[in-house]
Amino acid sequence: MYLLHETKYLQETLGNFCLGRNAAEIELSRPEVLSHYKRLISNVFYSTLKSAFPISEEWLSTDEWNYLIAEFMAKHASQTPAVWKMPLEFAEFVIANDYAKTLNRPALNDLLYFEWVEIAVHTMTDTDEPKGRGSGFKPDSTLALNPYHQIIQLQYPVHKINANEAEKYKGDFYILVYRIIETGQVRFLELSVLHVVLLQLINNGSVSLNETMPHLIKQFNLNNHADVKEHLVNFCKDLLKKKILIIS
Amino acid sequence: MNEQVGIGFRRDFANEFIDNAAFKPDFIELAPENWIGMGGYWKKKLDAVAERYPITCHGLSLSIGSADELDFDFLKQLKSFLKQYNVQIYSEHLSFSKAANAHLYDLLPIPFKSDAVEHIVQRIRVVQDFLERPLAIENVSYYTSVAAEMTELDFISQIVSASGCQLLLDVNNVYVNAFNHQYDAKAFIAALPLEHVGYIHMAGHEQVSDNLIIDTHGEAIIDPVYELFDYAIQLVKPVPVLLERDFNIPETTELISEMNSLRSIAKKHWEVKHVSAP
Repeated sequence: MYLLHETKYLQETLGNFCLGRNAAEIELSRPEVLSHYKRLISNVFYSTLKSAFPISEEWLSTDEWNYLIAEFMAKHASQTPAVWKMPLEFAEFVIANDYAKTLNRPALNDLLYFEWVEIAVHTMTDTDEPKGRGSGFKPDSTLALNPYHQIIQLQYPVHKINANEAEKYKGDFYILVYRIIETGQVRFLELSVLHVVLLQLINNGSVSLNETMPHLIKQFNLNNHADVKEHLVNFCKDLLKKKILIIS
Repeated sequence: MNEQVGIGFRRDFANEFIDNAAFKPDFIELAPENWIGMGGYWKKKLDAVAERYPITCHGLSLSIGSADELDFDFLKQLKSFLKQYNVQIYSEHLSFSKAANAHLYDLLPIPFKSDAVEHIVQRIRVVQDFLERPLAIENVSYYTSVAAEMTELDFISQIVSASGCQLLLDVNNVYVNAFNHQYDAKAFIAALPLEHVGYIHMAGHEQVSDNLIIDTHGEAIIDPVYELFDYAIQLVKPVPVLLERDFNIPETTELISEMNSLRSIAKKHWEVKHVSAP
């Protein structure tokens, strides 16, 4: 590196100031305009994060929201060169540093996570999509899962009710967030644990419902096989209709 | 692409590029960071415009002036992206956007110092070698200089001449800087290493006080910047010209009108020059 320590120091001091960190004075031709750089950089963070987390931003008070962004800018070194991926680092930062506890907002982590996963699935890199081989579902049809999905676990049902209300219902909530291949739209579906395991088995390697049944019966210690199978047949048909499952 | 007039491809008006028959830029420019790895709905839009228009790329995060190491993972993805979309020109800013290992997502002024010149020349060479293509470096707008040991003009000229890179001449940035730092915009342009100009940017700006203009890309180009463009292109060979409009997007007819104004000025000088050339 040809850059002198002094020049590096100048750049870091300027950068630190713009991120709201403590910064020493440096020689500037127009020191009075420095606040514009800080404002312009803050605008990028605020607008990007508001766009990524509209529900969280609406839910938190202005002071709380501004506090989180100021903390993030001052204490986190953003690593992604793509500004649209920066919100993931924000969510991870807030979760890792337990700001939900600091702000007494128990559902904060789940809400940020849920909002980010919606973006992650919407923008998920295109991949080889399983070829559909028909629409007539049978329990021995080989199934594949739409590759554009994430199954997430939440403690609070922020996916279906206001976060204030959701904080009263702590539990285990499993959500399938998926992208409709044709339109690119993102949808979500609440799942039971049984559904989650079924989808994981299908996702691990194309299999039929019949092939998954022994695993499910063993894992969940099921007795009423016929009832469970009937339920899962209907579940699979619904997912085929929604284009989450594909007969491959 | 020389003499052609393009416009920045933005999601805010992405459908205009696909559906509006009257909206016909000669090429489009996009920031690769906003598209690398993107799938789904927006990938389909990108592919649709890529079928219709040649593409240039204008980067945001290379941070050529940083003390931080170059990000070779990013450069690898960038190289693949440029190849995939048959990108004609890749340009970046003569600034830094990363410091102390933190991306800042905006452009900060590099101290005009000789060690910075050497540092940047070496980094441009590395980037050009890695990407196996020339890099066009843009003269950026800046609102204060930082511990400057030389002029902006010397800083840019030395880097461009020593590295052999192309110069992206941002005419609006020259106007903004000339206003903010009280120098003669035409004399500045005339003294640049103009034989290296490979691309031109034009944009609007916002005057926020009596003595400060901010380069916002959020307003229409003003007449004095058109006049500066008219002057500048008489001094350079024909190159692609881009209209930048990132915020406060107006009716498409206004953008078409701005592109037509740029085309008209470019034709006036560049076509005459071609006809009279031996």
